[in-house]
Amino acid sequence: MRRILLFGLLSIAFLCVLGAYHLIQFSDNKFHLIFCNVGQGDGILIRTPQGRDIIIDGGLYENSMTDCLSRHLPFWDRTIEVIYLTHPDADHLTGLIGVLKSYNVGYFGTPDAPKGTEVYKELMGLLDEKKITKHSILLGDGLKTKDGVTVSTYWPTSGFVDLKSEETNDYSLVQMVKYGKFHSLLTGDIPSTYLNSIMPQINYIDVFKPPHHGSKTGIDGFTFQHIVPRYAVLSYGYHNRYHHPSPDVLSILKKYNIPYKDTLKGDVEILSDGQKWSVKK
Amino acid sequence: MKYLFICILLLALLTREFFWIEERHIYRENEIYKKTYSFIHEPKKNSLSQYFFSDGLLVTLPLYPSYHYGEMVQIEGKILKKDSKKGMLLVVENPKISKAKSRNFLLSYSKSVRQKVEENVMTTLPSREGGLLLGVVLGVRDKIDSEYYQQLKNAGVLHVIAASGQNVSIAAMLILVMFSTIVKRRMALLFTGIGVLCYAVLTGFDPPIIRASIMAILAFTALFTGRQISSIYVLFLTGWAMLFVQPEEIIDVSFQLSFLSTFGILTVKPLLDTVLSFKFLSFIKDDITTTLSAQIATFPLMIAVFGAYSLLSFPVNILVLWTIPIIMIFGGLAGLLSLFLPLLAKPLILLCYPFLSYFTIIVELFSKINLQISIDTVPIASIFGYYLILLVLVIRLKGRKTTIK
Repeated sequence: MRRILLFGLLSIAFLCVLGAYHLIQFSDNKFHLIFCNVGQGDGILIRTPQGRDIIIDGGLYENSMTDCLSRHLPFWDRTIEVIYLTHPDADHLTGLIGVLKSYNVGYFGTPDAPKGTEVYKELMGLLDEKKITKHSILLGDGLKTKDGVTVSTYWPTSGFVDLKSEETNDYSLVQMVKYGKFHSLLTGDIPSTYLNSIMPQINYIDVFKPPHHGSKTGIDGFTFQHIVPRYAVLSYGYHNRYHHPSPDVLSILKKYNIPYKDTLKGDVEILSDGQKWSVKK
Repeated sequence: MKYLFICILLLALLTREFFWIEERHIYRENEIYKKTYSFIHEPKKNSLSQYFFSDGLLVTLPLYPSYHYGEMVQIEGKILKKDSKKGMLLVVENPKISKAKSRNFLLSYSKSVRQKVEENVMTTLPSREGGLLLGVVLGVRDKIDSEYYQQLKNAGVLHVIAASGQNVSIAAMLILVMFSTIVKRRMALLFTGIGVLCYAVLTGFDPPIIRASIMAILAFTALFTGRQISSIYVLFLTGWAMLFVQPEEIIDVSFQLSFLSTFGILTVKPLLDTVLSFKFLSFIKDDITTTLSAQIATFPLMIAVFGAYSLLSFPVNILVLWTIPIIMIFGGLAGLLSLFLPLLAKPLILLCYPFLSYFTIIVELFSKINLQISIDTVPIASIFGYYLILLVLVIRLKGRKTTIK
């Protein structure tokens, strides 16, 4: 009995030390944009200066996003304020199942593009079970947190949703995340035709995520005509079936002198204080 | 008289096994396999599919929808032959499957109890640590991601996440201590017996759990009636009973491993305890001798079955095994509390966190080193030879010890 108590006390002491460490490590009052190394697919975590968490997509495996959260959140933070699912493909969706199972989720938003797959049904079942409403996201929808982070949606438009396209990628959310002067355009798997029609509405991009894991369907020669992002982050996995990223995409990035980094070797984390931004090494 | 009794028991078992071998259906390639299967444990998962064994056939299913312990399904599919590391394997790939309504009230109730505990743990701890805790306390494997699973395997500590005899004995001790403070000793023993049964239902009916539960209950009965009974006797009686009820268990690896490691702990460990009589590191000495004796008893079987034996297994086990009873105690109490007051259980779950993360760090560290002996084929004769020598050694040394006394 005394031994158990001793171990209990030891454990409490350790938790205090770990807590202090996490407090220092994760409370830097900066905005964090993290492109997680999810193995396959997309998984993006936004942590606001006050520690609110927004997730956009979750990767192909059930644990891909939760592993990323373990790396970037203090252990007591078990609440994800907002989840966006850009479109219902497995390599964006599956990781969110893991998140819903092990975190308290405040809000769930996705374009109105249901899919008949078993993974999708599993996710919908889980949302029902946890009594989380599924919100349909359209152009103009978005959010603004009290500590100054905004997310605004550029795609899909309500007119487009009514067309009922067969291809789920077509509905993919395109969203601008802003904190102070920092701007980042996140594009899901949107095809270049639609992306090119959105680009003229935008006047500034710091960090750009080329759509569809760097596939050649994502960007083409016209994409950067109006505006050239200052940095690109490519999200893809090793030995993926589709051989992402496409050499065409890499050569376009090169042509416009856009430096880029990929998520192969680990999470890509971008920090900003609202004025300047940097890529964490 | 005693020997006659043993002979009769053995003969009865042999007859039973013989009839089972005679009657069992051997499945062949291209045959249609049709069965109503009920999940008596969770199907295993890798990142792309779920799988389980039924009648010696490997059945694979897509990852979703996920099936769980306690559910009943109807399977229909063609049997295919496939190459695997362990030789040819008969596989039923993605069969037609439909959910049948499970009428087993006990299983579905225990499933809902488990889900409550699982949810409370997973919403409190990071995914790896949470999965490990559930593995240690309830033998739940599906919360552990495939990468971590592989790491546990490489480091040779996979046995901690399988429901094992150790779980049952710690659970039994916990329950006994709790009841002993409330009621009289004999009543406490009775309640503990019931508690052990409940725990067995909760963890699923893996052979090690059945073995350990029967052994625990037999031991408690002996205590209850005030008789002395030798543990080895109990072990063999339990093994006999299990095989008599389910003759097919004799080819089940998990039954064999469980039986042999318990045998090792009961016979080899006392010898090791007297040989290794050092004072140094006394708090893990018990773990060392337990691990070593279990490993000595299972070593040839491990090589024969898995074709590999991790040399890391021993040092890693020494480094991490002392955390298991602590995790079981805090985790077990937390699990129990989760059913009534989930919020109060959370601090208890957090108490396990440092130990779980220590465990995880050690495993991640060591799994990077690959030190495996692998042998393709092991002659059966050498396995029997090994056990014969071991048996002779145990009996002779034991005899000598008693003569010294």
